[in-house]
Amino acid sequence: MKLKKFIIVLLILILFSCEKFEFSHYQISPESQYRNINQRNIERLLYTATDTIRIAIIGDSQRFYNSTKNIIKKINAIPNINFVIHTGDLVDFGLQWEYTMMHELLSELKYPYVAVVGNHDLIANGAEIYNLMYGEFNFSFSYMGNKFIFLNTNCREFGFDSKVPDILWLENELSDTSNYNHAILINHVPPYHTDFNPDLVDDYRTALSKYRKVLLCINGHNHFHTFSELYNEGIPYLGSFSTSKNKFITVEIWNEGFQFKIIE
Amino acid sequence: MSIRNSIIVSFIMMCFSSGLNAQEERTITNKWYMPDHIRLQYAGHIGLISSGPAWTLLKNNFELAYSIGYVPEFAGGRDIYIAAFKGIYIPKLYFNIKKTIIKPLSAGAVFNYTFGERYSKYNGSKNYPKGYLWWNTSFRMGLLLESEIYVKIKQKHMKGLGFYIEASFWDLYILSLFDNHNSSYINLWDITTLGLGIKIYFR
Repeated sequence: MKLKKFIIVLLILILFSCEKFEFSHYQISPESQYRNINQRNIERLLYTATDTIRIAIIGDSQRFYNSTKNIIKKINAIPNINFVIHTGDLVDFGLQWEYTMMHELLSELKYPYVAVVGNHDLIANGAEIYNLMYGEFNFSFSYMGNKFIFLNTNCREFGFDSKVPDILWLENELSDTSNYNHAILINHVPPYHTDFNPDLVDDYRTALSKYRKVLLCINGHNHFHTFSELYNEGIPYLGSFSTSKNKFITVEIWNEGFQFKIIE
Repeated sequence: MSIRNSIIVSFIMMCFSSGLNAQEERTITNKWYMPDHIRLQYAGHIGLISSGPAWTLLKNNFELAYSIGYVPEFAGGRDIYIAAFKGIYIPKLYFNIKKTIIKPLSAGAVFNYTFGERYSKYNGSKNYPKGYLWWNTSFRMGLLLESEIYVKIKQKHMKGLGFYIEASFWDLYILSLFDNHNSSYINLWDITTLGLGIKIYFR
């Protein structure tokens, strides 16, 4: 009888742990090793002797597993990339299953990747899944004298309230000017898009130009590359390709400036 | 009132949302619209646990099942409630071994609906006008394969027990596979969801 009980308990444990037995499309159940990915990848960043940083920029990977895999191969073939930035929309439908599939794929990257949250990532229970797997929506880190600021600009998903994007937080991040050389802002929805809260565009622009330290503003969402100095404030806006376009961008940043390259 | 009747009545109420008196109950139990078994299922995208009535129709060739499922917070991150509807074709491919009947493969369709504004708001609300997202976020459908082992039981209120395993393939997962055909990354097993269940036959 003891053996029987043991077998039953074992069977129940197997059933609970096997990911094939999904309870709901909308379940929030990231595996424990897939938690806090952004922070863990930031800790993996290596510090080199040169003063030039080289970053690969991808985005809007959604359900484009094949082309994302191709891009990963291309990035892995480039030496001296410091890290990869994902401009959001990791997944298409906000499902746990997709989050797991996409992270397992992006883990094939030789370099650490850091992702900002996109609007598709937030659908249904996606916000909770993103928080558990990647961490906070707004976060920043310093790397070789530069400050990388990741800001949630998915206003529609938060009902166009006054907290998204969090302008106060952004200003606060930019204000400690003595501790960084350049600031690079990463967000998913660009300020001119209808998914951006129109009431906050001016505040956003004011915050960015206030300390004259923002070198570059990177966004996703459009799926196609864009580059322009939108508001004649000296801040260039760089839009990333969706991985479905089979293209990505590399950016080199040094003390005096930056340059970018489109790679097919 | 017997346990059997109370179960049946509760399911009638659940299905047709109408009350019945005791006399009607007795005359109604053998009508065609009465379910002939109850399903109890683990996983399969219709709840950690789901249960509901099922009907065997068209000379045992077709089964309809309706269920309500629940995912508790410890398993799904938050409480999730799901209604599901299944239609399954059962080919006459039975293997009889004494009191056991093996139905190796049935195929069908499954639909589920996840309750809650957080799932329905994307298809027509203030911030999400109809068509903003092309797919419906509350309503999912899928294809179903099922294998069952049926054991005859001679009891007053139970005729048999069925043990089944099902594999389901759902719309958004199928689309993800289809859009990445010839993929070295995503395959049929990746989009497979499994479920296990028991059928309690009382007719």
